[in-house]
Amino acid sequence: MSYVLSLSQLLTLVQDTIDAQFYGQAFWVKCEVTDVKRYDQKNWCFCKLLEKKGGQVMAETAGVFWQQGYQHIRRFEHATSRAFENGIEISALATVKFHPKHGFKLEILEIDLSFTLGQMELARQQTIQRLLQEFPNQIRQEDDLFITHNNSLPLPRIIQRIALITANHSDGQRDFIQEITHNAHEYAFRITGFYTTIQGETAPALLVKQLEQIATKKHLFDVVVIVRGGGSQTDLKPFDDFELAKTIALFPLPVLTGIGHDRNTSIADLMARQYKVPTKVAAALVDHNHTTELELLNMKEKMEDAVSALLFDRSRQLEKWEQQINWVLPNRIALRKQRLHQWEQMLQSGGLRLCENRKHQLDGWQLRMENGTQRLLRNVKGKLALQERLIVQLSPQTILNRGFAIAEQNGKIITNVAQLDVNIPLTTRLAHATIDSNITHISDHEE
Amino acid sequence: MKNNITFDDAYAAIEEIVMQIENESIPLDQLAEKVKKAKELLAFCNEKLKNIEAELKGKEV
Repeated sequence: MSYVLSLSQLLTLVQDTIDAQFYGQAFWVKCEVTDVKRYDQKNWCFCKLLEKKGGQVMAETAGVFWQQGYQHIRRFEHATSRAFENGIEISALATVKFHPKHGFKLEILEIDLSFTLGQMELARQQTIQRLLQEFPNQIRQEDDLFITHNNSLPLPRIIQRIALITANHSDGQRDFIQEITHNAHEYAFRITGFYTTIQGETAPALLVKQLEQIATKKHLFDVVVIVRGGGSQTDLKPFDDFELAKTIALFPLPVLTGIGHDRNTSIADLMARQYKVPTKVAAALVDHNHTTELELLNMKEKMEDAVSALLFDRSRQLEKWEQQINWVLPNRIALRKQRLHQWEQMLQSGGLRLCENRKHQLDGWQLRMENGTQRLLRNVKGKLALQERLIVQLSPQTILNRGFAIAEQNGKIITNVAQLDVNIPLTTRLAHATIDSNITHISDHEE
Repeated sequence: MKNNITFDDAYAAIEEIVMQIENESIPLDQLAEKVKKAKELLAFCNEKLKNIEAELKGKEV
């Protein structure tokens, strides 16, 4: 049987061997960290270091950060805005340590920030490219700016109903509410909290869930505010999540972010309206309302000016009219009256003259008619008298009286000898006697 | 006298009768009748003129 070593003897031998091999050397090694256990008071951190290939663990060992290395964790978080937590891939400067009691460990002295930053940037760019490709109508890039459906939504003129997504009792929540409720203009806001974890791997899904909740009652809110405290909590990773960024970009209510980081901008910020920190979101909302109020005051002032100008104009017009009524119109009326009077006189005198003329004419006619009538009657009488005289002169008696006689036979006047019957007595009528005599001889008068 | 006769109609009728009398173109049988009618028309016209005059004078301010 060979010599039996105590465990410590053996492990001290291992330690010596390793020290002999690795003492004073350090190696840059690429690995993923997991099982992170931090001791912030002591500035220690224990973790596991892995190498994976296609999901398979190819190598695994314990790692430790003592004070020197721990400073690098802080620097890492500051520079990358990422929590140093499970799943982080790093490139680290490590020394190989073995301790009989504590076992094998890689002691990390330094972390290569540019490696992680490069990796992060790569992942970030991939997410952004995917967003641009999958939603070309809702998300587009113009230089460094992203124009999305969401950040193109107009803000309501007055914002009062706020859906606040944050971690309950967080610094962000406190800062935001403090700032907005104690605003200088004493504007009132109604804030409804939608609380969730905003750190860690589950955060993106939980944030999306809260946004979906809000979307179901979007008519109750003017805007969505997502805030998160700054300080030591600097993990922006959940806000680079594809699903969350997409949900925000397409969200129907304007989203304002104040997720507590002055240096870096998350993809969620790019899709929304970014205000860096909670107090700035609050200030922006107050300012927005104040701008609206100033606009209203301005409009009110303009309106008052316009109204008083209008009233002034109108009153001047009225004065003018009054003057016209008092002076101009009476003059005009008097003028008209005078002219009417003249016309009336002209009418009267003209009318009377016309009447006079007519009367004169009528009188003339009457006279002419009377004269005419008398003359006419006189003429007729004259003619009648003449006729009468003629009739008297021509009457048979007158003729008989003058000595003429009428020869008759059988009661018929004989004017021609041929009418005579010589066998019948001839009656000769004188003025005062009638003689019947027999015809003895007839002799014609010589022509 | 008919109511619907106008001054001008009456006036023209008088003139015609005067002309007929003056050129003795009027049948004697109708003379008395025509003269009577002319007198009526004259009275009508004079009445009208009197009214018109009165009205015109009445309007004096």
